[in-house]
Amino acid sequence: MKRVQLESFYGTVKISDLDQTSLMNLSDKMGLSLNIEELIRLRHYFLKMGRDPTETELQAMGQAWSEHCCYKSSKFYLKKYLGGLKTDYTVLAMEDDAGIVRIEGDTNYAVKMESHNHPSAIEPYGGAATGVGGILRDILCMGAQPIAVIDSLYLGDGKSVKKSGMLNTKFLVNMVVGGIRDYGNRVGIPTVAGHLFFGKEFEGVPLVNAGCIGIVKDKDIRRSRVGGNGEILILAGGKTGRDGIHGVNFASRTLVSDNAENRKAVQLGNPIIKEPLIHAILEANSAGLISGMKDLGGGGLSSAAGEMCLAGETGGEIHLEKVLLKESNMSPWEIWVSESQERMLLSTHEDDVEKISEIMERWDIDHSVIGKSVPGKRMKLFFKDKIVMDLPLEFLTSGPVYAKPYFKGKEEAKHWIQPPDPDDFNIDLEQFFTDYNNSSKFNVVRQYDFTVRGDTVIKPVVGMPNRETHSDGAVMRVSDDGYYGIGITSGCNISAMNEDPYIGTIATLSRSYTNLLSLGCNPHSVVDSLNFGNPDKMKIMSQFVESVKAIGDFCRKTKLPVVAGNVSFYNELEGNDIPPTPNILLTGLIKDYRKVMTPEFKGENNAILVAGSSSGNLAGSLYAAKKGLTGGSLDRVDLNELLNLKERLLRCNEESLLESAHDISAGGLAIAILEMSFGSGTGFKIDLSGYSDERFLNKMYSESGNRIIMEVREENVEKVLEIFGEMEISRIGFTVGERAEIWNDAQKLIDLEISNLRNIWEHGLDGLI
Amino acid sequence: MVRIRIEISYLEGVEDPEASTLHHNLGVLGYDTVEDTRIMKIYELSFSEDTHTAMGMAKSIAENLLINPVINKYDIIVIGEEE
Repeated sequence: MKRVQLESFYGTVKISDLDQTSLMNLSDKMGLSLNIEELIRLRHYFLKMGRDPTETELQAMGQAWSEHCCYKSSKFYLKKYLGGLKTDYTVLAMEDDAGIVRIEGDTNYAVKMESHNHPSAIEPYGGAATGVGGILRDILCMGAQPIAVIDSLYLGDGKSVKKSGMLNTKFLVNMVVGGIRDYGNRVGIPTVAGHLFFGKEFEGVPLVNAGCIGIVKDKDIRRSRVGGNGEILILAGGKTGRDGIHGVNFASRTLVSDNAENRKAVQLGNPIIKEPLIHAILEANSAGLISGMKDLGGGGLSSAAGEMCLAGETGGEIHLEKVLLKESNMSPWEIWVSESQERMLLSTHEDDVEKISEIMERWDIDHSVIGKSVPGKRMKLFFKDKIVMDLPLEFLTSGPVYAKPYFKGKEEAKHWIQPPDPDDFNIDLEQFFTDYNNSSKFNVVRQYDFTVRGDTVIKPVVGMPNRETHSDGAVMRVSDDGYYGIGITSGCNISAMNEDPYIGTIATLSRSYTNLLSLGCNPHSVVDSLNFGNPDKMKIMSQFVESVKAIGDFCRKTKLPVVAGNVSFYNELEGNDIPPTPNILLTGLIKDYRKVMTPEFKGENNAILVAGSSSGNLAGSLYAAKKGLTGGSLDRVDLNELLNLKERLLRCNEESLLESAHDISAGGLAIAILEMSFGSGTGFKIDLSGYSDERFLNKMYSESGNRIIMEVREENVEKVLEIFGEMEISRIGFTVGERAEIWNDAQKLIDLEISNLRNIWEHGLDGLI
Repeated sequence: MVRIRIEISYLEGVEDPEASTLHHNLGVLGYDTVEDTRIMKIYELSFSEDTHTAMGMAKSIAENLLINPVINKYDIIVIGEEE
């Protein structure tokens, strides 16, 4: 056996003679979050090397093999079901920090969404803010100019008893929204789309998913790899501190109330550094000075430098004392794994270092040369001339892959959800609107700057002044030349996910799909942010596998690429897991954004048509959830119908036959048509007698099927019906006055003033935020 | 009556964007010997209690309302006692 001179390594930790219990104790003490099999593999490896590991090496392994960094529980299934989902317009999918998709010619968009759940649970303001900061860097490191931020939040409803040691819901909601607002608004990138869901299941386990879209020309695309041997590595942006140490390890286990170890895992962002950093990086990149770059997120320098060198097929030598620090007395392992914000690692040719330095200095960005890429495939770290790590990159990144067992458990019998008719449908509807999930989200959305940079064509708030409603998604202008627009929508159908992870995921995707169709956009690419409970439980693993399978099936059928994603496990508190939450960010394109549609009614005496079929099923609907009815049997979503709907609706929009369009989603037809009214104050009169043979309640609140409500001028009705041909389409009424009148079987069951209803809707969240 | 001051500051190592921006700008203005800058919040509360009870209450107020233990620490100082 080869003996290595121990003296040359700094800070070794003796593990060769430790038994299993002592190994586990060591892992706990050092905060590694590795399991016993992984620790034994580590010990075995170092025994073979003939030496004990250093503290830095152990910490680096803890980072690299964490769930967060190596996707050990999810990789197998992601590959199995989402592998090969590419199209000819996909430039980069599931490879680097963000996906890249071609729009036209040499113009592309970069897109990514990530969760920032664990930090947001314990420090919601900083957690949510750094979620935005992190996703901006993911887009920036591809060489793209960020143009839009997207945020999907799943929060407790504040109606259940607060769990001990966890933050109060009202505080948490305000802080999460405040973090996104303060970071996004200060960094100067608009927050344009997202989703907001309140449910008791998320009490103490909030989900904060942040997404970003950027625009990049072919020549500016940069990979997350060094350009070759002898390249210089520059660390630029914020200084390195003790904040955020063990963030990834912490995100790879279950939350425990009042755990002091959680504390160091939190970071606060600094958008004032990020704003000039974006300018400096883009300037250096377009001057061709950067050969590869990566942002420092989870795992810090350890993860970024290791992955860049491995992908560039080189080794690396890094001098940790050259890293600029916030605190002077940091140990080498702390520098190596710190997750301090606002940092980017750049790889450049020796001759260009000075030019990069000049640009960084002009933008007032701290930076330092920390090392270089070298031949061979080892990562060697020095700290004041002592070796603190020397490991082959392949071993470092060869994290275990588990095909974790899954089992659905015994399924309970499903039934047809049948709530009783209310005494008065009007009062019932008004009460339905008081629910957080049905009310307007203005109190949140209006805190965000959604127009900065001047590229927002469709804002999250649309309609007549002082009578706005929500749009189905945002549309962003791509460039000064031409009229290409990118449609963005993001969300998850939690009430359907609660009933069935497979059908729920398909329903989530089809809802995002119809959102984009309502805007007039052609769905183009999918990004998934998969939030689940504890993967060590077979039931949770089964939810995950079903959900990923559904994404694969949906995308194969609709020919959409999955270009980026992220998995967040261990969203669990005191044994209670969150509902499966695959948050989908769907991006679409429209060739001429002047043709984009909005949901508000445009005028009186226009026909109201509903395209698409519905079974009237209330399972998985918000109405059923509000009445406390679960265990319903969900309908399978008819994807052929969805594709037909797309083709016909987009053709109608192309021929400018539609005044407005809005998809029927959360809350069913009732909420959808009222949201159209709220945007202009125009009322409507509809008769649902001939719409289907279901009960009135089911016609009003069912969320099943792929349906879109359209407002059509009388003279265009025939043409629209002709385009829809044999596809199911019904004319249910017309726009008129300022009241909502809904008839069924010759009875006027709803008769309410739009302005009164809108008032309830608009102020639904007032008590919370 | 007891007057108590509660000083809230960031835990060591937590990023303080406001302080670092201030520190940076001091350098720009030529005050380049300023080594470090910290910003903290001060609350002053008056209690109609004896000092010992008031200190306990101030501690409870700080922990339950004023700080987030994940990023903040606090100091309690008695600044005045009157009969």
